[in-house]
Amino acid sequence: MNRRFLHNVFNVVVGVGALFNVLFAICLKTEVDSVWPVIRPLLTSIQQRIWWLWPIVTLVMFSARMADKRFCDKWGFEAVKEMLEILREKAFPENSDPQHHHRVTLFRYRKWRICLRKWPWSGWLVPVVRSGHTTQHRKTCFLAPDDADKAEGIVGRTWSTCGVIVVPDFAKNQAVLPNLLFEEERPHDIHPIADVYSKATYVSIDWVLKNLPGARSFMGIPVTVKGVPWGVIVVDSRNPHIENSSRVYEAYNLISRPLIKCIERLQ
Amino acid sequence: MTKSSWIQIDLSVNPSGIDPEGKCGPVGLFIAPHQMPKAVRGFLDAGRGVYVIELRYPDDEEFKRERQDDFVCVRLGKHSRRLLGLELSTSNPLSINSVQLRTPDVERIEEAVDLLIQQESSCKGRENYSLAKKAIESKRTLLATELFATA
Repeated sequence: MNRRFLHNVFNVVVGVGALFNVLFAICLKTEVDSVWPVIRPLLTSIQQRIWWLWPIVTLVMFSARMADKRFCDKWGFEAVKEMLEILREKAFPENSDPQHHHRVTLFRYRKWRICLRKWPWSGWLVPVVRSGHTTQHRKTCFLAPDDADKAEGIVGRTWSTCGVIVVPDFAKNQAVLPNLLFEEERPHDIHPIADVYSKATYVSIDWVLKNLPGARSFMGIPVTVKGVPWGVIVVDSRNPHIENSSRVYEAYNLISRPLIKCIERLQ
Repeated sequence: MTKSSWIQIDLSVNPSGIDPEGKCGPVGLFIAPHQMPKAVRGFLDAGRGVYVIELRYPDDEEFKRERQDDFVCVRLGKHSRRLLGLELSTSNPLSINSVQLRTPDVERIEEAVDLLIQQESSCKGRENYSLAKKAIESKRTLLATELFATA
């Protein structure tokens, strides 16, 4: 059974459920004596069973809606993922590195998020789709508050400036980011290089020490839907710099319209 | 109303040329893709009696109209204030032929966009209007053909 067929079935279930809800409301308010004698038995029967019929119909409607979202909307994520793969291939052509060394992630802005950090209602950029098949479960979210100076990470910075950001930016003489992963290159006291990393990537030094990120170069592209900022695409790599940033930019320009159409579907 | 097909735009823009002194802050190496028009088209809206020049971006957006003068009305994005199009009054007909938009009309369109640029306080807005102007300018001949065909 294909997804479109399932989607249609679920839609019919929701539609019929809505009709039943209206019917139940009418039945509840109608007096048996005021209707044609032919339908009196049916009306009486519905009124007697409405206390369990109504919740069941509502539950079925709700389940159909949830199932539709869970199983049928998956194509939207898959389409977005494919487009992120295109960006990844354009950014890092012909490389044999593991996939998680060069990633493209779509973050979505959420006003609220359930978390233990303060404050859940501050505004967050939450990863939605990531290229490749590894590091899919790492869900690092970044703060994107109304006070834009406090936006975290390249993703937060891209969000707040609403412009394309490349780090390290050689046009502005930014130095290459230190490698935090390789033990042999890591000095005994990691704090100074973590400090350099944190300042260049707009995250706290505590965050850097806790997560020890491997990425050394980033490119952030803002995404708007219907003229309103929606999220950010971040390209990150373990290479010292993204050599093909202009190619990524051109590739994004090519796929931007279909990508945004798919994102609209994810809303 | 027959809408013509979109004419793709490939603006090879040097962003540093738009903000050479870096007054706009950390705009980065590239212009935000949503600020850059991707395509343009021109057609006659006979119902409203206007020639329309529309610009297309990565995302579609509702627009509101703002009249610039008797001849030009601009379409600005409801949320983003991007330039989504221009409406040119047919009561003051365009002197188009099948080859090109005549200079006076182009000048009037440019004047309208320049006025927008002057009125706009944000860097991003000015950036968008400059790009839109450049896009229309670059497809002047094709736009005239489209307008002529639908008129």
